[in-house]
Amino acid sequence: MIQVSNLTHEFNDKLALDDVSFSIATGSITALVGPNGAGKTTLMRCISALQTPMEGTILVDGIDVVENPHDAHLLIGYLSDNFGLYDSMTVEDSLLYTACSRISDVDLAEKNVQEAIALCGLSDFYEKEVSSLSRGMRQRVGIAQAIIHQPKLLILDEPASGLDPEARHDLSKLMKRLNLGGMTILVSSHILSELEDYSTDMLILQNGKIIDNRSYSSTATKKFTHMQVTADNLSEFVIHQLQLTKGASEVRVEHNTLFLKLDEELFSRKDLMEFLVKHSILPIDFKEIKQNMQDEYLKSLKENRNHE
Amino acid sequence: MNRQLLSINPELARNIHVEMSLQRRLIMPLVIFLLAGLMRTYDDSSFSMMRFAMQAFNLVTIIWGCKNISDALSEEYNIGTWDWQRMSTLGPWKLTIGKLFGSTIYNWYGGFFCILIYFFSALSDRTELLAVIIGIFTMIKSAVMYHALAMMIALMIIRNANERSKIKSIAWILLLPLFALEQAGTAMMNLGMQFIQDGGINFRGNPLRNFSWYGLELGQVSFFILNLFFTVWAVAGVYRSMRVELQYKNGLKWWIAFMISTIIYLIGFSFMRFRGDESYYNFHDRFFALYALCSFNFFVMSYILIYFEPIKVIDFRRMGDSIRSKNFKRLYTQLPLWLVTITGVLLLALLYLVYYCFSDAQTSQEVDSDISFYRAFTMNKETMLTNGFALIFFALRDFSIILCIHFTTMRKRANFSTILYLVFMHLVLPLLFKDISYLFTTQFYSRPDSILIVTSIIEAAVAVFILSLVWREKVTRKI
Repeated sequence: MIQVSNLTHEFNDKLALDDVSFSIATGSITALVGPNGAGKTTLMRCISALQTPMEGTILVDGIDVVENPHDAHLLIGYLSDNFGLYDSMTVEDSLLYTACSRISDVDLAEKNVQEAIALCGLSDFYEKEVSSLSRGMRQRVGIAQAIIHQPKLLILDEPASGLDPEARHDLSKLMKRLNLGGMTILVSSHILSELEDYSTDMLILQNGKIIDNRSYSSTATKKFTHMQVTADNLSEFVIHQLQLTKGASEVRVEHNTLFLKLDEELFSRKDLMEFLVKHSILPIDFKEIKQNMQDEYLKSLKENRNHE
Repeated sequence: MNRQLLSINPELARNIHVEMSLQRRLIMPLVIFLLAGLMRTYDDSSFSMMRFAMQAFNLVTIIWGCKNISDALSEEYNIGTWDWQRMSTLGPWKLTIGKLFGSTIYNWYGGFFCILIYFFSALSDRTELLAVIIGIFTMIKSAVMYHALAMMIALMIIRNANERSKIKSIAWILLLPLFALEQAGTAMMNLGMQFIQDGGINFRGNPLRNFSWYGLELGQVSFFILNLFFTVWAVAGVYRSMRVELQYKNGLKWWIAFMISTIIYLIGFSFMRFRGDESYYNFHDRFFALYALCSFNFFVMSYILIYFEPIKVIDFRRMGDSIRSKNFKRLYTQLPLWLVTITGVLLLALLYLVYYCFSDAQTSQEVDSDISFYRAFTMNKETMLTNGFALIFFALRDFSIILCIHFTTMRKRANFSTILYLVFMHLVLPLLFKDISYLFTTQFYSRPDSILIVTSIIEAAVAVFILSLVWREKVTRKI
C-alpha cells in the first residue's frame, strides 16, 4: 500500500527524515513508533501529501504522492493529534460538512455519514455539540471524519494520547473493525502498550531513520521465532549442539529452561522438537515467547545506539 | 445546515450555519438601529445619518470583517481543520469564496442594515439615485477588497508557519494604516476635486465627474467599474494564495498579469485633463509621475513579499536543480514573487531610461501647479532616475543580505534580524551619519547622483558575492 524510497526532509533546519525507505503491506495495521522528535509526524504528513519532502518518492497504492497530491488525498484519511474538529457544530453537522467536502453528491455524503456514525459508535452522540464531548468521543468523531470518504489508507497521528483506559480499549476495537473492513492503517504513538493490541507491524523511527521494520501479523510468514523450552535433562552437550545448529541463535539456559531464537526458514519449531526428541529430551513446556512490542522497541533502539 | 448550499459550497454553508445563529441575527440590527436612533437624537440631518451609516459599515463590515476572516483562518490552522480542508475535494475557488464571504457573513449581515440606513438617508437628502447606488457599490467593493487582503495576509502567515506551532491572527491590523490612508486620501481627493471642479462632493456618494482614462471621459458608472480593478485583483490574489496552499502548481502568470495590468491601469490616468486644459500639466510629467508611482509600488511590494513568502533553503535547492537540469518549466513554478517583482522594477526603470533618452521627456514644461504630487515629479527627472536605480541596487544588497541571514539562521530569529538590519541601514545609520547617508540608503532630495549610484552598485556587488559564498555552503551543499 505504501512504498517510501529515500525520503529526506528537513524540519526547523534539522534533518527530520534521513533517507528513509520502507514499505507497508495492504491490509496491515502498522505502528509507527519512536521517541519524541524522531520524525513520526513529519513522515505521516509527507505520506498524507500535506508536506512536500525535499527528496525521495512516496507511492500510495501506486500513486506518486509528491507529484499527484490531490489524487493521493482521495485514498488517504488523516487524523492529526488534535483531531481537527469544529467545536461549535454538532457531530452530525460536522460529519455532514466533512462528507460534502469530500463527496459532491449530498445523498451519498449523508449515507457515508450514517455509516461512519455506526462504525465509530457515535449513534448516541450525533446530535450533541462537539465541544461537549469527552476526549475519547472527540477522537471517535475525528476518526469518523477521517474515514468519511472511505479511504484505503488511514493515517492516525497519536490518536490515543490523553485517552483513559476505556477509551483506549474502544480505540483498539475500532482499529480492528476498520482493518477488517479492508482499511490499511498507519498509526503513530510513543506509548507502545496501546499499539500492541491491534498492530500487525511495527516501524521504528529514530533520529529520522528507520531502524527496524518488523511484522507481527502471522506466524506463518514470520521469519524469526523466540522459543522457550522447559525440560529436566538439558545437558551441556545438547546446548552446545544447538549453538552449532544453523538457524538457532541467542541460545541460553536459565535453571531448567532453554531460550533460543529460531530462523524458521533454516530451523523451524518442528525441527527443534525433532532435535530434542533425538537427544532424548522430553519437554515439560514448549512454547513460543510472544514478542513484547515494548521490549523489541527498546532493544532496537539500544542496538541502534550501539551501532552508532 | 442548508442541504442545497452544502451541495454548492460546503464551506459557505458551514460558515453561514455557524455564524448566523438566531440570537446573533437578532442582536445585530438591534444594536445598529439603536445606535442610529441615538445618533438621530444628537443630529437629525439626513447627511449625518449617511455619514453614520458609512462609518458603521466601515467598522462592522470592513474592519470587523477583516478581523473575523483572519481569526477564522488562523483558528482553522491552529485546531487542525486546515489539514483536512487541504485534503478535501473543495477546489481553490470554492474555498476562497466559502471563506471570503462565509467567515464574514455576519459582518455582511450588519453591513446590510448600514446600507439600508445609508440608502434611505441619502434619498431623503435628495441625493441623485445613481450616485446613491454607486456609493453603495463602492462601499461593498471596498469591503470585499479589504477582506481579500486580510485573507491573503492570513494565508501567507499560514504558509510561513512552522507546522507544529500555533499562529496568531493579528496581522490583519497591518491593513488599518492602509485603510486610514485610503480614507484620508479619498477625503483629500474630494477636497482637491471640489477645488478643481467647483463642486461635486464625493462623500455624498457623488463620484468625481470628468475623469478620463487614456483620453476616455469616464462617467459615474464607468469610473466605478474601472475602480473595481484592485478589488478584482485582491480576490484573484486570494485565489492564487489558496492554490498555493492546496498544492496546485502555480506559475507566475497571475502575478505578471497583475503587474502589467497595474501599469496599464495607472498610466491611463496620465492622459487625464483638468478643466479640459491641456497646458495645465506636461504629459511627460504626468506619465513619469504615474510610472514612478507604479514602480515604487512594486518596489515596496517586493520588500513586503520577501517577508511574507517563506524563505527556505530547500526551495532554493529545488530552483538550483531546475536551473542545472535546464527545466525552466519547473523553474517557472518555483520562482519567488519578490524576485519577479524586483526584476520587474528593474525592467521598468530600464524601459523608462530608454524612453527618457529617446523622447522629448527631458524638455519638461515648467508648471505652476497646485497639485504638489505632479509638481514634485517635474523638478528633476535625472535625480529621480538616478535615485530610482540606486534604490534598486540597494534593494539587491538588502535582499542578498536577507537571504544570507535566512540561510544561516533559524527562521524566527532570521525575520527579527532582517528587520533589525533594514532599520539600521535605512533609518539609524543615515540619521547618525547624515553627511554620508548615501552609503546606506537613498534620499531623493540630496546626494550627488554619481556617488550614490557608484556606492549602491559596489554594495550590491559585495552583498551578492557574500550571498554566493553562503549559497555554495548552504544551498548547493548536498544533505
